[in-house]
Amino acid sequence: MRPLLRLAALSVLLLNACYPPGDGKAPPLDEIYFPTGAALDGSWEFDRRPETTKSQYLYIANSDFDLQYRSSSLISYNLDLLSDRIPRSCNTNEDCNAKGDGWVCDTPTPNDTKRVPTYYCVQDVAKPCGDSGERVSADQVLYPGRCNPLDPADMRVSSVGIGAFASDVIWRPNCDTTDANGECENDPEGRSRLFIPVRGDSTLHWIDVLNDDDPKWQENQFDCGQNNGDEDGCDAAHRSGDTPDDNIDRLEQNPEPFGVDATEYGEFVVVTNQTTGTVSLYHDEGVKGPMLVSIASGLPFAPIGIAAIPKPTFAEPTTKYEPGFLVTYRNAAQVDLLRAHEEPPFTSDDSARPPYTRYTLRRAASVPVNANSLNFDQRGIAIDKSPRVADYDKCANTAAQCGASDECKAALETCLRSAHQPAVFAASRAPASFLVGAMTTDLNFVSGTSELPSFTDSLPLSVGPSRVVVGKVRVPGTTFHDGSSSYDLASRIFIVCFDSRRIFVYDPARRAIEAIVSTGRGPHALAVDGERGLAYVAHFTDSYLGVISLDLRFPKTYAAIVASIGTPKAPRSSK
Amino acid sequence: MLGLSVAAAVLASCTQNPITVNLHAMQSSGKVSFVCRGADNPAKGHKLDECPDYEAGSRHTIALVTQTFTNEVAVVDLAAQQIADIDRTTPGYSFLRVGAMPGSIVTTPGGAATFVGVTGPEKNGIFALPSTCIMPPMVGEEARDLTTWPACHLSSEPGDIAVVVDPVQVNGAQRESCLNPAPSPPTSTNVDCPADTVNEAGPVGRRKLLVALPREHKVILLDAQRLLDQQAGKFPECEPEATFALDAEIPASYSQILPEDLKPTAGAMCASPTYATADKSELPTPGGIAALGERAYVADTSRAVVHVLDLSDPCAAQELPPLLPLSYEQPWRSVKTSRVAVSPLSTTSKNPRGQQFLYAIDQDDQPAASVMVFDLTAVDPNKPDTRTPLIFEGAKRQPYMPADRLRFNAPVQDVSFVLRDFPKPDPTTGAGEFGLLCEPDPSASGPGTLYRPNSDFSDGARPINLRGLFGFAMLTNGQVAVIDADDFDAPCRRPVTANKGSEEDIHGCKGDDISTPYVLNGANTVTNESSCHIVEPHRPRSASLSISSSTNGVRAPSLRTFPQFSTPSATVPVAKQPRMMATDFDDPNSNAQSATLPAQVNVGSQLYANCAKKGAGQPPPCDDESISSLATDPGDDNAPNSLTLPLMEPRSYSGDQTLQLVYEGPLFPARNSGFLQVADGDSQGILQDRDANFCGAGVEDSDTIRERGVALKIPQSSLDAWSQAHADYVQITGDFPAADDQYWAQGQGTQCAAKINAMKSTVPGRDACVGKFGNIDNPAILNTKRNLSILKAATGELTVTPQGCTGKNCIDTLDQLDCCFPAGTAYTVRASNQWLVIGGGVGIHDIGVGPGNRCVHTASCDARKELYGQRVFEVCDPKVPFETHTDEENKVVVDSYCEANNPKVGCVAGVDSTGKTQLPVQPNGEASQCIFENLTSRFVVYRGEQVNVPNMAFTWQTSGGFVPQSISLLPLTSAASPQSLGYLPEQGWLAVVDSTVGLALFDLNSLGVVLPSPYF
Repeated sequence: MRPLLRLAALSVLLLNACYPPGDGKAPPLDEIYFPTGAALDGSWEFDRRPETTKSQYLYIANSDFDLQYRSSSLISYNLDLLSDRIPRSCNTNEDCNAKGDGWVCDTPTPNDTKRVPTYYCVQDVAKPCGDSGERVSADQVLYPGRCNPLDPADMRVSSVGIGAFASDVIWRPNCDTTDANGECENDPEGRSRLFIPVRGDSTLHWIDVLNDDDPKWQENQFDCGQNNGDEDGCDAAHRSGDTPDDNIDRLEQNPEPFGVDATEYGEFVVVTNQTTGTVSLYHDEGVKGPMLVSIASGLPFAPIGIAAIPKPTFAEPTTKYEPGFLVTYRNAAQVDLLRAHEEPPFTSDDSARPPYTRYTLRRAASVPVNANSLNFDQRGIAIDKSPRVADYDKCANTAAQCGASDECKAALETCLRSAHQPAVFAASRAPASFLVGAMTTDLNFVSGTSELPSFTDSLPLSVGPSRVVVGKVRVPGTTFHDGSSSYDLASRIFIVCFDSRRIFVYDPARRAIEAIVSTGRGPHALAVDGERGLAYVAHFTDSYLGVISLDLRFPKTYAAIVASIGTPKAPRSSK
Repeated sequence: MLGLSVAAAVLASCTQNPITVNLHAMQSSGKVSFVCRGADNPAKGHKLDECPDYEAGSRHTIALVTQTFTNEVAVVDLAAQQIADIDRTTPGYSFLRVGAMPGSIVTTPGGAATFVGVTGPEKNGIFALPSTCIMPPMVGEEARDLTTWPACHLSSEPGDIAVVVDPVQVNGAQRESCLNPAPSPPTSTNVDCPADTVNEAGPVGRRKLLVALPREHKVILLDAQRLLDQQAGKFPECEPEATFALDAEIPASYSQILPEDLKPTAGAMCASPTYATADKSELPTPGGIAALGERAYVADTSRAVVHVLDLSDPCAAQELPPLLPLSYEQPWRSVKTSRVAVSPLSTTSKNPRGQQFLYAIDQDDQPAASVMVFDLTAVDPNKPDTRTPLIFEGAKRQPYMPADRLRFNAPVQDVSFVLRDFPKPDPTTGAGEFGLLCEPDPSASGPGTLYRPNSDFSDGARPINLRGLFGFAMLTNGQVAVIDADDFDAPCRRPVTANKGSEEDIHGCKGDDISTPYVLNGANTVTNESSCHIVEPHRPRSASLSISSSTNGVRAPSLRTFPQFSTPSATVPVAKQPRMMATDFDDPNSNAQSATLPAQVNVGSQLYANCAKKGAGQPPPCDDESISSLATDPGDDNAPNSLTLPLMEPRSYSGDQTLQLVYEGPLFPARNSGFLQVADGDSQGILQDRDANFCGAGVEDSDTIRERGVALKIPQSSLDAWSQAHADYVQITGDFPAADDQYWAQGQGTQCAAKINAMKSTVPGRDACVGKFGNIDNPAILNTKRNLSILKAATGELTVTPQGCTGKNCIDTLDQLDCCFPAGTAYTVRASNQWLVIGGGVGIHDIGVGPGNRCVHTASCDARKELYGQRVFEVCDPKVPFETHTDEENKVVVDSYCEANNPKVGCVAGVDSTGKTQLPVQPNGEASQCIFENLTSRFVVYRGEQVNVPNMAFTWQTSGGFVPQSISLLPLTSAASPQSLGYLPEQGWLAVVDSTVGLALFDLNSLGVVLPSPYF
């Protein structure tokens, strides 16, 4: 049976299946199994240590897609340990000298022209993959990468059981303290939270990620009420949306939650519901976790992709801004802007009655997608705020030199309003294309933009584009140094094409596809660890992770899979 | 037997449902270059115009198409009508493999070789494909692979590439190299695949490659032959012979040149636009290159200039003052360009010096990448303004196109020019002359008259006749728009009526040399289209003749039927209905105040006109006895409602439209993202909706609409009251939260009943709200207590108060509204005591954002919006009694009275000395200020005898709007993804390379696809 047919058959099985909680075999929590979500923690001062600005952990959400188990799992990996095990790329032996361990660069051997060098730093050129050994050439077609897979056991930090059919995972720092303007500040306790839409029970799971210093961390990095008799599975209190009694408006999560995104500190989490024309809004209530507070309905059928709009900077910090989200649809040629609104809490005269806050998520605006001949079936959408952030920084510097006069304030407002708008990217399946644009400049708005995208370019892709991820890669430069040479970080956009086993790397500066990564079967989730020059692609079909080199100093291995984590396992029906 | 039956059944089922599977040889096609390849030995390239040779058939036009996903160049033999399989020993099609992802591709003028820029980490470079080896190898020849091609490595990704010619020196010799002394030749020459660009046909001189290196912010010059002479299969460093830094002087300030019709009104206090100048802190980044003759134009993707290189000596190319992209709509924007196209010099019989233009794609224009036009023949190096994009006349009647750009409904991906003519032989000399303009003057003679249209439009001037200079803009959605740049037939594309006056007549004609119609011996010498602006330079070409007739169909702006009246409430007797009537036009070329031109409009293909007299001797169209009468008198109860459609600019109309004139109509569909904020005890609230863009929707508060009152000559004494009565209002159209919503049980909704009636505080809150503000069972007639007058309109918020309230009642009602309609309730904004034209384009008004984000009129400083309008004020008849009703005290109340000081009245009709009302309203007559005219309609609304109610409406449809001519890939595929354009002048074919379709060829004589293309 062809892979697509197999997946279709599995889908039918899934749609007809009824997941009975508590029944069936427990999932192996340490096993990558039909992974659907990948996330990194943020590049911020983590664990109260300013020097820790790199991401530390990789989170993989598994989906138990073939119903072999009664639920699924979420796993975290230590990125430092991972990157230590992944072959280091090189051009010459000098690139491998940083550790002083005598390793050399596996470059062409003059007297053996048939040997294909790896351009990895190796201990022994004859064994470029070390003890793990090289993958059989024929297998490399199905599972790209020269070396046999790495056993992730040593690099795994924690895992926990979650419901079946997770569709994604996102990470957000906690919003436990706010500044004078009510803006979230980094949690001094260094805590954070994961949000996972789960299709099996139509919920939004939430899992607290403990600080490394927390005594409980030694036991498990995650805190979601596990150890409740369900063999390390999260408890019901960490699933939101399935019980109307849990929220004040008695709302219930619609079936098939799919895409997820959240505001910068996870105050608001939104989830698309792919079999209805609705999007759900959750408000994170702190210790109580996220609560379903509103459902935007009346939208086109099958909302899929969702992206939180980065909050603009205003000259007047107290300017009220309501969080916005851009949504794409499988069945409609449009992008909608949804906006969350929070009413001031109503306190009744009855002191026994808790304050009531009314939230709404509404379609505030919409823009047709005209850039393609068909235009429908948009999938992933992503926003790159870096062009605007760079301009904001310039404005702030100018304002700091200017002073506090009214003229300076006016100049700051003008500067902020005229900043470059964030770039917006979307994947379209009909035709298979990559839509490139930006939030529309409109000086009628205080932020200088309507926050709706204008797509000004369309680039062809291979079939089946799905997710779009904004990340960074290492390029030759001067800012950072890693022992071999200096480098800078540059923005890239990654478009994952599930059906055609490719990941396109788009260079926004050059406005062109820079490279095409050939992956294994079913590339789906992608997490880009730009600081380490690596990306992790979760292969849904064969249940393992591929590691992509994203260090342009080493062009021989750039945009290639240099390692795989976990042994690939073909779906049962294809065994 | 059973087996046979089964087999038969299977076969039958197969034959009944044949499945055609189109196998694609190409994958992700990018760009194309054409080679004319002969049957020489070895088969070498020729000039492109030497193909095809129809007699011998030995020379074939070969299309080389880059394949971006497979790092190949596909080969299509257009003469053999097939894709070439380069390596027949392997299954499937294989093409010419190059070292990395191919980008730009160019062929030398004589066809000796083609050069392909490739990009990839450590693989950036240029591959040379000698024409001798671009076809499958013959017996005994080596297989084509990477080692077949000479190539060289570049230090970064190559961008666009252009072939330029280093002309022969004064002594007649060719320079071998720009470097002096010339470097020694490469050690190895390519003997298997020879290519001689030095002695190839075409312009005499050595071929050089101008290569953009965007990442290094420069352009370099390579010698084409030296690259060809490299040893095949190696990848040495390229050897630039010259480097150009692209750093020409940028003026300190510059601006666009405004045409007369866009200059601000005299006396208006308007700030001049402050244009952004090119920021030199941004490093230049070369984009597309267009080279023609001694000039190369280089787009810049990071700096707001188009570089101009003087290539008279390409080895020492001088950068001339650059072209300066700007945006009239967004002068603050730094405009970057991605691709450029330069036109050939278009010389005509009336302009022997010719015209030359540059089209540049504004890559970041929103909502879609657009095209700017530079007039290269008008460039003055010492006058920076001449180097900015052209702003076109007539922009004020083209609401769907920016004044200085060509913008379409999808981003422009590529642009190209085509200059073509098919001269008709002069009957006396037998010779045809290129570039003859069509001659419309009936008294003229000569070859120009040969291009006049014939009676059935099967010959001569017509849309399909692409004779002249045309632009082609390829859009990402699979359409290729045709643009009139210099149409040789334009003089014959017009109405037959002539206008020698200096002001445009109702057809947009002026300044004609003759005053008699363009008719000769009963036959038109022109097309007799509806407008003199049917062909406009650098505007999309019309797909059809703008004529509505029984033979041509409805192609000029026409009504489908006369307007129909409707009312949401009880039926209004015809005699008491308001009337919408056409009115005559002012005669712009007559000094007499009463001079008018008869109102006229097409209904379908039938022309109606308001002719006082008909027949010979009357001005057109009243010279036609058979013309139908168009009523303008509102007193004629038997006459249908009517209007006229201005014909000056067909581009005012965007295809078929349904329009409505609605009393107190809504400015936008209901929104549910508004939030009312009310402070305790305040009589005013704020309706906040950040995304509503109220100014963009045309909302007018009392301050804004006051200007209209002044224009309507409302007496000063009642102007304040009039403005308040006519300011827009918010209407809450949404329902209350559902009865089981927790809002009523736990939120503020628990207090609504008490707020509405303290004596009945135990009534469920929702019930109390329904009782007070009514339900939405009939959305057309909602409780007026849901209305909120707009006191101040700003871009994201409206200051409101309950309509018609006074004193404390305002505070209470506002508090109740706030309680009953919590966040997310649907609302709209409606015009007050006036009619609103709805449909036919959003934003056809002149309201914009002013100081303090307030909504203000902008037409006085933005002439593009002078003719924008959607608000219609009635004319009332002071002699007509209006409806009355009896109040609670049994007093008779006149519901409306027609006096100038009535704040609800727009215009009062004049009364003559005999006491008779002067109706219908005439141009320049009494109440003529209430004649409504915008871009697409002109009429007067006369008040009926019955009081108007909101949502009363006149509805009409128009057809025959402007339909642009285009070439579409959609018949070939529904999922088009076009990448680039090419042109084969000898065949007259436009080539469109599409990522999925492959190579599609279109015949410019028919705009149809050339079969068997597309090649995929």
